[in-house]
Amino acid sequence: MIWRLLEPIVTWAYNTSISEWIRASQWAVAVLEVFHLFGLIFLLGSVLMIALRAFGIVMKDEPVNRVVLNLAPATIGGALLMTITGTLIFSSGATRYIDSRSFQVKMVFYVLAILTQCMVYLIALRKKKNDVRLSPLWMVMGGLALLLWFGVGIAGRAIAFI
Amino acid sequence: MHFMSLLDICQWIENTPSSTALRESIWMFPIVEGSHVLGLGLSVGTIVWFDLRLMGAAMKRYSVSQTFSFVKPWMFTGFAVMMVTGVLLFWSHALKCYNSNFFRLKLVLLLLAGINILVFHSTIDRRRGEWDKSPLPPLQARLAGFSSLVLWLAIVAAGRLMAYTL
Repeated sequence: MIWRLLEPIVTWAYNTSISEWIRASQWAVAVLEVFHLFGLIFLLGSVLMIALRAFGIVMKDEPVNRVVLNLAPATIGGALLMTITGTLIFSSGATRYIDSRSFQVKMVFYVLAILTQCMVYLIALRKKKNDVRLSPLWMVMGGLALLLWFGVGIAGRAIAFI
Repeated sequence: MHFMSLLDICQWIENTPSSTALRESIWMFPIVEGSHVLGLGLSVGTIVWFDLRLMGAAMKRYSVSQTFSFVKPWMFTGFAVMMVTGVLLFWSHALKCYNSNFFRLKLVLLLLAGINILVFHSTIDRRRGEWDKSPLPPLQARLAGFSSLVLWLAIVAAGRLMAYTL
């Protein structure tokens, strides 16, 4: 499996001094998890608003691409915060997480979500600036991004249980 | 006559068959807890946009009332999910919640968030018509938005940190 190929990186991540420091600290993981959730609030909140706009439920008089770009600081900021804190939490228990089925599913969702999000920005930058009509492309992209990011969240929560 | 203390009540709750069943269930507990965490995307994830609009920091093209109408159904649905799942989580670990300082802090912060909303509605929000469309609402409204944002993030933090003391 592909996860076996990652073993050298996982072992390296587990043995970095920052990983050791997080493991030794009583509060580091807890604080990282708090900021992981702060990232979730801004990421999921903005992705939800974009999907609602794509389906013509809110902000109907504003073009979807402008909504996407206006909310980009929250979406990208949230995703960055989650990625950074997530990487640090992962490194502290890398050898354990990599074998977790839930974590593996989470990473598949994460890669798909990032790719979808990149496509959303490519489309937003190329589209005509003042088109407020409903578009099937935006419905698919907005809905897909929302589902994939929620998928990352569900699989992430499952790590604790499965 | 003997009055039950809060501790007695929490002890009693944790000993009920329903509490034990939820606590030890293979699927229900993870589903309830997972919904409580992902419900953040709907509840706090949407209220931050209203808070930021009140602060004059986002959604400035729309009036405060319009911004509220955008987030309202999702926000209320989200908070309903949070209330129901939150009460169930408390029910399953009542005694541990009672002993958790972060849980106590969370209750105080929730109370403060409620007071913040009440004060906002009964004062500056009564004159919303005068500043509804303004990109930068009056100072008191901006303060209410900022307090709400800080309180909700603190509530999330206290909730997450509870898990490390439980």
